[in-house]
Amino acid sequence: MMVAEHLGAKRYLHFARDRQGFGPTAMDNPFRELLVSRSSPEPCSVVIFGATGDLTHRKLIPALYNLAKEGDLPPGSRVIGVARREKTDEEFREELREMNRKVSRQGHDEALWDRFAASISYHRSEFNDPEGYRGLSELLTKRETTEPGKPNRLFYLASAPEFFDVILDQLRESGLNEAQEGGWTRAVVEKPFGTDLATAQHLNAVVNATFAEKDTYRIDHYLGKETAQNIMVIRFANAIFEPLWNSRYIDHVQITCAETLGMEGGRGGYYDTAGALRDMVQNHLLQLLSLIAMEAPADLTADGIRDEKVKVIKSLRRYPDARAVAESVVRAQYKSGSILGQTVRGYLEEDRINPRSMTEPYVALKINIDNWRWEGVPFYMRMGKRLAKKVTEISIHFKEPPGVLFNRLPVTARKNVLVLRIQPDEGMSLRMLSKMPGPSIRMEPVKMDFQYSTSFGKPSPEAYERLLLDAMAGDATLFARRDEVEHAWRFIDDIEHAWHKSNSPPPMAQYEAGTWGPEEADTLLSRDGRVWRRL
Amino acid sequence: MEDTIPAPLRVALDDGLFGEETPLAEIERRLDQYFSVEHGVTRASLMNLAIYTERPETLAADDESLNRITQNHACRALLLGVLPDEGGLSVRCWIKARCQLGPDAKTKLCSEQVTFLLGGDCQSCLTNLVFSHLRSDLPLVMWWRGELSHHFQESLYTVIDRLILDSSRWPDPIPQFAKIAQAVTAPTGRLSDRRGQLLVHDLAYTRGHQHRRAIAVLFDPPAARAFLPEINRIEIVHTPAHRHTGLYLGAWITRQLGAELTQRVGASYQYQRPGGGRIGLSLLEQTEGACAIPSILLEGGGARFEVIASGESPLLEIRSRFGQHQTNAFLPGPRLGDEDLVSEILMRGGSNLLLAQVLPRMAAML
Repeated sequence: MMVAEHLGAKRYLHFARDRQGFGPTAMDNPFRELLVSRSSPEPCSVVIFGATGDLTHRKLIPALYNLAKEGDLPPGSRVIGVARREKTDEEFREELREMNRKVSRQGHDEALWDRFAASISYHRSEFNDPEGYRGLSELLTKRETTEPGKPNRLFYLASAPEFFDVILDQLRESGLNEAQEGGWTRAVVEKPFGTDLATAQHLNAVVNATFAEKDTYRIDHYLGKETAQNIMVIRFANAIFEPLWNSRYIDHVQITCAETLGMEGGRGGYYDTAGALRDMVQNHLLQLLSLIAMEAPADLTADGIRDEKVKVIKSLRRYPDARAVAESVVRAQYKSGSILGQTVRGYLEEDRINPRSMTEPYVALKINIDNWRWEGVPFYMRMGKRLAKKVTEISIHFKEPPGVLFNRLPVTARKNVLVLRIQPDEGMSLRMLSKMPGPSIRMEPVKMDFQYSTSFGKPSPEAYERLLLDAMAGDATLFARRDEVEHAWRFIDDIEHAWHKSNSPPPMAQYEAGTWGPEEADTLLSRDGRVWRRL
Repeated sequence: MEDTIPAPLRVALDDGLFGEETPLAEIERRLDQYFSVEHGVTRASLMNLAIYTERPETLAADDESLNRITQNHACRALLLGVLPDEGGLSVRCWIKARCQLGPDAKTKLCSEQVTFLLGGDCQSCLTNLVFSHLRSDLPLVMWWRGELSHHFQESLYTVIDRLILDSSRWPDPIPQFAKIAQAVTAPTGRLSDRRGQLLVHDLAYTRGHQHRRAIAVLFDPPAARAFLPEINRIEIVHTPAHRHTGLYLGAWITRQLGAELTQRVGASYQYQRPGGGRIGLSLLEQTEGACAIPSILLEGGGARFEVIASGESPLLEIRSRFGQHQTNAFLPGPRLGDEDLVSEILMRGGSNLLLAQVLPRMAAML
């Protein structure tokens, strides 16, 4: 010990303990102390309903594989795919291997895949067949008793949403929702969480009759994106933004989610029953809005953050009647046009779309938040298919500075704009005015730009990787809570009601594919003396 | 200066390895000039990264290290080579940009590098050179190759944010660790933006990171944790060059078990638990092996927990046996190259508190 003291060890150790503030064995597993800064995922059986679907093949399995490659997937974890088609374990693994080769973020390593795939098995069952669930229970018990790991079970509902009810009912009937001794059971529910408030409440009732709310993880993959998670860091870890983050300094906010895709790949069948409002706005875009508009949470716990997000959603000013909807919401369908040199069909001519459909592939909204911070600050939101380019971003438009001194001079783009780019090209930029070089005072907007891809060497993990780990770790921060979902539906239902059930429904606008949407959406802003940001 | 330039370095200089030789006062202007005429180039920078060496014959290898690191970490790179003292001060410098295609396959993302070759006694000039060529507002990470010499002085280390060392290369580590302890607790320099103390990273410690993760995974099951109070024997096998990594792992394991060192005999250490139990820790040297730590064993109460780096496999195998349970699984293995370790440190960032707590215990085992 003398050697250490000679080295100033006591002083060093004292410093370390002061900084840490707690003793060396404060955690359950002492070897986890200070090793990682997040909750530890626990090994479990990931049971995926809808195992032959696109989501499982393209997202879930590659996400689990990448976690295994990074060493983040807890040893003893296993995957059981459940679906209706007949196939063997080997056939199932082979299909997954083929897709993983194509889409895995980190490439495909055969040796690693073989080890990972050994944990995957397939169970054929109709979703409404009690026998199938008995078989699943036996399979789980067998694997849990003969293989290393724990009897933790994560049921992932990746099937078509119309099967959610029956799957949850059957899980309850078969007792699979009950935690095994020394383990837990949790459910991950994919969107859509209902199609309106009533169905969402029904689904939530069914979910909560089967799993406790704390064990329910409603996944919204937008929240797993690095840039979405970064919103809170930007706001609450920097001193320069939060003091300006209110109606005194912010003129308005724009949230844009533009896609170039239409209804390729047979997606028209589902999409025509949903539309942009229910498919994107109710979940992804309102989640982004709540992160932008929320107050600072009391702490960073799941409920600490979600409590604040719910307050925002509850404060959204509702549209009392069809007239109010017509004033503040624009719905539209695209006509034929061209995108990147390719001629594309109009929405009503698309595959699996009802030629008389009244579903909107485009929606733009003016949203007001009735609370102290955002009084008088409109949030404009637009989401559309077949737009000019693929981009999702949030732009914060600051008010103009006082019209004196330099601001007497004519200048375009006088307002400062902070842009948070969600995808692609994740990052942020800040527009400000700068003097042009030369003897006269001439100002032009310049942009400070930060890009994830050029600043951080490591590519961002896929959203599903982060979210699956969180579900295994019991961290629900990035998942939607029941009240959050239901309040969002309350807001959306007013619009849907005006569109589809009122006597004087607002008209369906049209726009040419490959443009930035209908003129009516431009009018929505120009009426207020504003314009959509040029992207 | 010319007389003291070692032959390998002279070859590198003749080959133009370090880019364009530039007068000291012209460095920033010429770098700006380069980026102003090159179109489609992004001058990317997340930090200042300096490599310091007093063995100029390794400068070419250090240059290659920067090449590998900057592929993942855009930075202002400073390569500092110091020739042996010869009286009188002389400085030569070179600039170059390290570019690679960005994700869009069109834009070139470039880090810039300034290489200095210092002759004579540059006690004060070293610090000033570093000061005057940092990108402002970005943290300074210094990778100090070799032992901490008299050039490692307060005026320098108080402006460093993150110091990277490799104690496994030190022939006489005790005075070196004393210097680190002094640097860590020194007040922050007046020119530094640093909020806390200097953050130190020892590559000998980082080499054991995946082993620490593997041990943590072994004890994630509560049933395994029930055996923690029973652990009475720890055996760590290390290769000859990596005794320090073995010591760090031993210091870390015993610290996490709450045990205190009471006795040392050769490479065997006795620890006392707070409740009275004893733990014997042995470090065994194995002459062959690609991995710094071929195996770790924790044993007691009839339970056995192992981390094994098998052969040439890039994976670590973990095995546990207790009661009726017997498990084995594979985890990612340790990174082998120094540049990979530095990249990992830069990627992970953080305050590195664990090393700060383990280091004194490791030093006590030297």
